[in-house]
Amino acid sequence: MIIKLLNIQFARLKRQKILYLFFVVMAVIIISNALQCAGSSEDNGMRYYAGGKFPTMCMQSYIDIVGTLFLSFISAVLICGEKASGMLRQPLLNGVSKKQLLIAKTVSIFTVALIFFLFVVIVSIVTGFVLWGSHIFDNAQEYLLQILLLTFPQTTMVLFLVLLSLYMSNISSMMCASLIILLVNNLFSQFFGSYISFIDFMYYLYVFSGYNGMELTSKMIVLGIAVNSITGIVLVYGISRRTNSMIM
Amino acid sequence: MYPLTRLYARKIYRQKLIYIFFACFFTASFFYAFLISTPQMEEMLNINIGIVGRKNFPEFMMRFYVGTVGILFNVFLLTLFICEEDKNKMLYQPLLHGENRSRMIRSKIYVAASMSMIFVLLTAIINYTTAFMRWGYEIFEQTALIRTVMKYLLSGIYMSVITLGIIALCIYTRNAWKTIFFVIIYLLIDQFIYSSNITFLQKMWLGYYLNLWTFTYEYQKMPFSELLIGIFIMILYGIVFFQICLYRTKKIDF
Repeated sequence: MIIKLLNIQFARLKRQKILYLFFVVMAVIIISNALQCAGSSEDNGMRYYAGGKFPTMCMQSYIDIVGTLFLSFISAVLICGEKASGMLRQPLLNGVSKKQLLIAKTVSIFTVALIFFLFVVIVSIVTGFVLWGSHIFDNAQEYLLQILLLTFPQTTMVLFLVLLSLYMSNISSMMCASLIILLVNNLFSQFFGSYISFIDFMYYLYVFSGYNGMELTSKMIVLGIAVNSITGIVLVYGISRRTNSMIM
Repeated sequence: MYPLTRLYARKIYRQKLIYIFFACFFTASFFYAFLISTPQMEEMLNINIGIVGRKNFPEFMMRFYVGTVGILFNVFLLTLFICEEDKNKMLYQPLLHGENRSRMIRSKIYVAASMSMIFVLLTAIINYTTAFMRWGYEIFEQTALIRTVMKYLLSGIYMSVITLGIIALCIYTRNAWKTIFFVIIYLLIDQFIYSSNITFLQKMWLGYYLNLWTFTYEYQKMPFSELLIGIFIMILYGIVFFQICLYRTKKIDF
């Protein structure tokens, strides 16, 4: 049943133009980053990212606001939009349980997040290879570790967006809430990193991608994974509670 | 004030998200004013407090609202205000009570455009308040004050025109996500045009003048000719968007 539901979700997702817009937006951002890095002088901050550090820079651009905003849009369309139009109820009439439906939706959003992220990584490496040749692999070990670590906060982020969508009544309010949360989180990550590192999973989107020169220590890696795992469990519990109590 | 306009104004100012957003903006402004002075923060955020602090602080903070964040915030609110109402069959309710379409959309436009201007002025007040708390009377240097207030007013005009454009989009698409989709495309094109060297296109583009005032002439006086052309282009766009809204509203099949 879940596989059938997943197929329906993917078919629906394939029709979403916003998905294709993301690829265009990210490609433009990556190419414009690459051209800025290539054309910058030695004393310019952008020069630091030319060559082996370029994929890191693109990942930072992705996690900063673009990626999360697009993901929240996808969650809003798949959950809030359907809830508002009464479409969320349809599969329930065919014997599907609320839990199965929400699992299918969460898995499809997670798959989209994975595709988005892989797209950024692959396009940045290819663009970097075209501009700097094999130098793009100089820091491969560093950015491969970042890619691996970033899957944790991104998974938690998907769960968080699903939970938020379950509480929001329409696409616009969901997007507005996401924008506010992103901006507040960005602010707190900049100024209160040492305090919020114990509670805020989104902080690790910045830490694991080396945002603003944040240092990636083994203590932060362990703490990041722990915070994300615990938050993930809490969010799953929240989703299941909300699903049970929600009138679709 | 016309009763329908008052009703719409009350409806929009009842949105809790507006208050949450500006509370967050105040917090951001406060943190920036009080915490960026340390050398570690200056290095981390890649800014020089000698340049962005004191009298220049309100102008520095302007970029955090005017532009991408402000436009996204406005589009989310306006889709709630128009597309969601349309979807819930609330948009034509006033027509059942003897109002005509033109008066209904005019009321919406007046409320939305003044809301955009008020939001920009509110950010100015917030930034001046936090700057005053941090640096006291040092922020009120006459030349910088006049220049900054002018830039805020010009940004308010820009945001109002953009609001008119978003309303026109809402009425055309009658769908929240399609409107947001086109606004994201606008933001992308805006960035592209500003960084390109196609002078003719830049001169005709609405967003170019805001980028010019905010980034190219940051902490500097704006040339009078650029100012006049910018205002003229914005008013022109504003009139076109306004007419499109009126024309399209007449054709809507509720």
